Amino acid sequence: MQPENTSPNSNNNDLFGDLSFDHTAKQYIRSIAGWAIVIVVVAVVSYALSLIKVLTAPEIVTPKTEGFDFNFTVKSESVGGTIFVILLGLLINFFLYRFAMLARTGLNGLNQASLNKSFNNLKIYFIIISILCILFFLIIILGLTAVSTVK
Amino acid sequence: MEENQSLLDLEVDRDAAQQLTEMSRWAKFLGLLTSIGLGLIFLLMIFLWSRFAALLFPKDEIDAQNLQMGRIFLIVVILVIALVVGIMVSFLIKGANRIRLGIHARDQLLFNSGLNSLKNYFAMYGVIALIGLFFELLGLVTK
Repeated sequence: MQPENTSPNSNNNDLFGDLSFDHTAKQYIRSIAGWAIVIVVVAVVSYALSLIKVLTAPEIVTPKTEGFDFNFTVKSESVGGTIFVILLGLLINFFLYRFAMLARTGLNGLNQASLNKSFNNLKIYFIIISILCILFFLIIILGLTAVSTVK
Repeated sequence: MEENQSLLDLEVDRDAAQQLTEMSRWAKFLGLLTSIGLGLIFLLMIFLWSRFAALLFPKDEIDAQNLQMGRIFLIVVILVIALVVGIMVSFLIKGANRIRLGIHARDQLLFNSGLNSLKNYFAMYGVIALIGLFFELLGLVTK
């Protein structure tokens, strides 16, 4: 007699059948999705404000220096750097937004596939944040050690 | 599509369990990374305190009383940041651990408790983001 669905990739749910997204779990996931939306909206508004601030920043005109017959006009804040940070932030928040939307769709429509996809998006969000965190801490620690060596 | 939709209720099926386990692993990694990174930064700041204080508060520009106040203010700010981030990271790590253990042990209460901790993490993050936005708007208005 052949055992039923013994392959690891089968759709057999017997291992996880007794664990479900009960009423409490659904409430928690809804709440997580709600806060995720708040975070995304706040981030987007904040990016818009940063962009406005950078684009309306006063221009600094450098005085003519010896050997140069022209002035340099530069923005007091870096436009390129701000746009790069905004694009990076939008990428991160896109996955958080997708998580929130798919989780809500999954819970409201009892759609298992949507709910599973939402967790995948949350995983990608955590992966990107982790990589950025590593880079950020490396830069900060390098900066601190550089400051410590300055006499 | 239809086979993925449950008519009765949503279950932690194999796919959901796999996604949640991987998600919780990365969440725990992020939590540990944040605590280690911040710990290192604070340690560096403690060891290099005299240099930072001299850099931030030049003695020739600030009098002794203001210098002392500035240092106390900086220490308080650092402690508040450490406390807030510490609480957030503890929620994240606790949530990630409980979700993973709940799935492995098929323990509904543990699983729900993990989701609750993750909810607390996102709620705290959301509140901090709102406070940050408020101050950003305030800065823009008062400029």
